[in-house]
Amino acid sequence: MPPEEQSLLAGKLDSMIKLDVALFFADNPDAMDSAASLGTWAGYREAELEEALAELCRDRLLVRTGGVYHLTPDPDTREALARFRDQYEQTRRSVEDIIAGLERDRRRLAERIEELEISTQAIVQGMGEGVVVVDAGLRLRYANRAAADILGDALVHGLGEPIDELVEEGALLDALRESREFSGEGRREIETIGPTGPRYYLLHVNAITTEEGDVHGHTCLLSDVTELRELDNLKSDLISFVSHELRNPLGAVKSYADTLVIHADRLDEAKKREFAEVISQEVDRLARLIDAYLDISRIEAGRALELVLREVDAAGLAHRAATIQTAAEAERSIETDVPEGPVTITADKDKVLQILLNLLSNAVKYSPNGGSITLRLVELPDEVQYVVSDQGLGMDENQMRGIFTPFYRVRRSETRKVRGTGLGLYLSKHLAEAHGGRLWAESVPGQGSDFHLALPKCPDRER
Amino acid sequence: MNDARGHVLVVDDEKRTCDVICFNVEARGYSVDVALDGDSALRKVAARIPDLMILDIDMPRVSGWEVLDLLPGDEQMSRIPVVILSGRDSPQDIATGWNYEILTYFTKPFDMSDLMGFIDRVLGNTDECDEDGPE
Repeated sequence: MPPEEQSLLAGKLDSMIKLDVALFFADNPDAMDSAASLGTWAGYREAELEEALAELCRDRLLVRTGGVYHLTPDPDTREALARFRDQYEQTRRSVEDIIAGLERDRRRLAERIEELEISTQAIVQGMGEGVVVVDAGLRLRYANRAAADILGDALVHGLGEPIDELVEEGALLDALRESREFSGEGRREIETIGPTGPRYYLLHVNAITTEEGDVHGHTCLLSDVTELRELDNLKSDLISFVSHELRNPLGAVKSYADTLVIHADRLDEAKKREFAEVISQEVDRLARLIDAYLDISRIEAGRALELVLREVDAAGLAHRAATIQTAAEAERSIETDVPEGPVTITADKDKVLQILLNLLSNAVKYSPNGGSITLRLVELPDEVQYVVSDQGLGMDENQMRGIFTPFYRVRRSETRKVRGTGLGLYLSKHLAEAHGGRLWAESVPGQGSDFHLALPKCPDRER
Repeated sequence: MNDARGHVLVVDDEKRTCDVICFNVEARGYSVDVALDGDSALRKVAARIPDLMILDIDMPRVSGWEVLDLLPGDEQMSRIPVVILSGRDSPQDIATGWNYEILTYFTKPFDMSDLMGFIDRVLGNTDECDEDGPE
């Protein structure tokens, strides 16, 4: 059948019902004995069917003989209808395939969206940062666990409620108002009191806007900056401590020098000598402090410590350390147990002295209730070991774990008032290791601590 | 020692600082006692109320501020004139000092003549015409 005839046929099947009926007769040319028997066939009403059958007769697709409808006997029309039916079926199947494919895609997309939603939820819920989302009317749309921990549990069950009825934190409400009414953003710092003390949060509020600039709502992000804040405090503490620590020897130098000047004409030679010695020792102490802080800044900057290696008597250094410590705190004498005669090692004597003085002053500080403090020196074939022992507070394993890390100080009630930077042992360990040596502690809580400093006799050969 | 001129208690955990202040205070004719920590300062005050106390802040166990907190509230003890002598020089520390109604605040390093001159004025032992002191 030529194409124009095909389209002519298509033109005759101008309604869904006529199409359906014609296709039915294409498959069942003699099946229909009466329109009434169709009943409500394929969901069509009887009257509609009657009319469609009558029209198809008028169009000469059907003929009616003796009240029974048949497909037209005209072979051309029959053939055209059969072809039309085939094409129609083919088209219908491919449309169905397309629809099925679309449906599959839609389901997959829906699953993916759900997965994404679940993982986004999990991520946002699990975030350390607090997240709160409100709509343009400042009603709660979303809050994660962290936000509820920071701002209160009312957020958990407050979906849709006005945020100012759920949260008391004035800074958050201020930042939200600022974001809504002015800039589209707000920044605040929030301080809360947690079980372990104050916590600090940085709050960022940002408006959610469409491309046209309409505001849909606002996001609030709360980042915990407590550790940064503590580090900052620690830094200022350290600076103030360093300046304070330097002021003590400086104050001693100044007041002894003042005294020499004020009483110059009345002082006997022995007294003048005594005062001058104090000044000299305090200047040494000042120099050691400055060296220590310079060494710490070298370590912090990742630079190597500079050692001046010379042959030195390890026994002599032990006695010198004990003398200096005793001069500073006369009421706590240091017992020494040191081999007689020189024990020669190659080391930086100022740095070794620095380590020993650190260990001795720690021993004094951490034995507030007295007890003996001993400095021993043991000579081994390739190394020497200094051991500083006290009968003080001691430490358990937990407390010992961090003693060589910077700013660490064993925290407990007895040591709350112990003065220190938490840098002495950190520096001492680095100084020991720069020599190729080791520094370690052994301790029993309540019975005291032993600090061991092992130094190779000749660091160059050892390394 | 001429106690009539006055009794001074020096409290500092730096023994050398105590020694040199004692030397100067004694040289000016005052009697002097030393405490190397806050506990000992409280014991010494209980044994003998000084006419003036020179007090460090940072000391192990009991700090200078705690000494002032722990001083018994009776009239004599709470009226001991206190001079703070400390390495701390932050505005907060100095403000804390004023809250305790201390007489004055010296920061280390300090001028020994200034400290002695101040003690003389507080204890009313200025021989010369007092030019820079309070009227």
